[in-house]
Amino acid sequence: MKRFLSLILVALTLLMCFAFVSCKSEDEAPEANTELNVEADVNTFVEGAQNESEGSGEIKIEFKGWEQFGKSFGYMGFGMLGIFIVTAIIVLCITALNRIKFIKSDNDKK
Amino acid sequence: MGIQDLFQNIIDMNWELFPKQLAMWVIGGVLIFLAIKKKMEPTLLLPMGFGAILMNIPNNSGAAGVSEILETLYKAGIANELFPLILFIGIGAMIDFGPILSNPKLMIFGAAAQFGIFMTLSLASLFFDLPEAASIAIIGAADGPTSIVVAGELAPHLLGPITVAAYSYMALVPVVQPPVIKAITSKKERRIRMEYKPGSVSKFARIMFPIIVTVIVGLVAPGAVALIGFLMFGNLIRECGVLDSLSETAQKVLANLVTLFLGITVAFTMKAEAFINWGTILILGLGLFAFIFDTFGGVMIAKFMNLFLPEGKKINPMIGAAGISAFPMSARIVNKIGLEEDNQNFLLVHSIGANVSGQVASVIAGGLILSFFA
Repeated sequence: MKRFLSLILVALTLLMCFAFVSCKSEDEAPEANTELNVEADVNTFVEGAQNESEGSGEIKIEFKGWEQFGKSFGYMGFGMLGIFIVTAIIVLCITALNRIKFIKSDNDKK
Repeated sequence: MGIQDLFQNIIDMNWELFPKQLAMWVIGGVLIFLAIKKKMEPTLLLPMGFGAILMNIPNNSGAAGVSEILETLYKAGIANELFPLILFIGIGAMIDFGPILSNPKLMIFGAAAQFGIFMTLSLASLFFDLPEAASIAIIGAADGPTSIVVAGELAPHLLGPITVAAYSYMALVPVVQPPVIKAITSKKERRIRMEYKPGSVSKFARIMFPIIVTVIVGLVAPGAVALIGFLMFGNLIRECGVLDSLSETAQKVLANLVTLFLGITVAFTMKAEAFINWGTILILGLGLFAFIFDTFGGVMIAKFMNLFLPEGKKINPMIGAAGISAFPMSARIVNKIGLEEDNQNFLLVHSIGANVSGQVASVIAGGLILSFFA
């Protein structure tokens, strides 16, 4: 158990370093034009999809720049860090739960 | 009224769009073929395939047109994320978390196997806005409802290709994972045997687990409360022991009913003019990238842990690959590869635990993505 906790601590430390190195700037609010995508109205989508002659439902691809690419690594670092932190907490809680025998399962009964 | 009135729809067709609509019929047919003949995720691929054909019959709108009806279902269950969340109740009721409750450190593999999501986020950010890139990246969660919820929230115009990619790759896990596993592990590593010590899990632990997980995940990623909450609610119904009829209803009737509507309603987003383009191809490619790096992440964490473990206590790195949320296929694949290398090396008991942990980790990842970008 101690060794496992040490492993978790090492992994979290590495991820934290990676996250701080990767983040070039503080977290920013989404840009105005992306909020349109975030709050995409169903009717807007429906109108776009039904506008057959103009084909306005087409997915647009364009190079977004290296700055956004670099920013994404910050999200990667924090995302993996977040998952590992939550997982570590859950693991500790499960370990604690397993030490509590409040209600015996059928397997415990003799 | 003349004979031409019988064929007015064909005369009035948009002939410029028709080749794309025809392509969607072919795609729908392929999905149906994969569902029936190859038995690949038939519960979703068949309705999606048929829906793709329905939605791309020319001039299908009108007072009671299929577009309007599917739009009603879409607004009722997909736009507000109701259908996937209700489906999660059924999924939660089906899952037995016993393997990770008896061996909780397997959860780390589920966490590591979400690496592909964030790698794909970075790659996709070269071509899409960040919320769109995040929606595409969530394909790597290998979980249909999570993909639908996240994509529906962040980029609903990409829901069609994302859902097709998510469910198709989940069904293709037996094809995608083995080459990746064999490429990044040695034969000696694949032959590592792991000791199995069966442990009993108390009923108290089984009941408290869904409640504790919901609270912990909800505190860290509030965007995940709906996802994890409904999943764990279903599991609590299963484990409490006093709601057997509700548990059975959730596992069978509810899950089947919602799946029925979900599949065909997702097809509402598969209009030809929106689906047939290079963006869809790119999304499908990024989805494959996500699955590959999910496998990579899971295996690598196991190899990293082995650096600190003594001989005799090492982990078979393939267990990490089972941390992907494609349950139970990924666990069976790892077991199969293990038996190919050593016919006495049964890894299923360990890989199932990692696979189950992936279910929780994928929801956590989805919640974090929503917290970052919604």
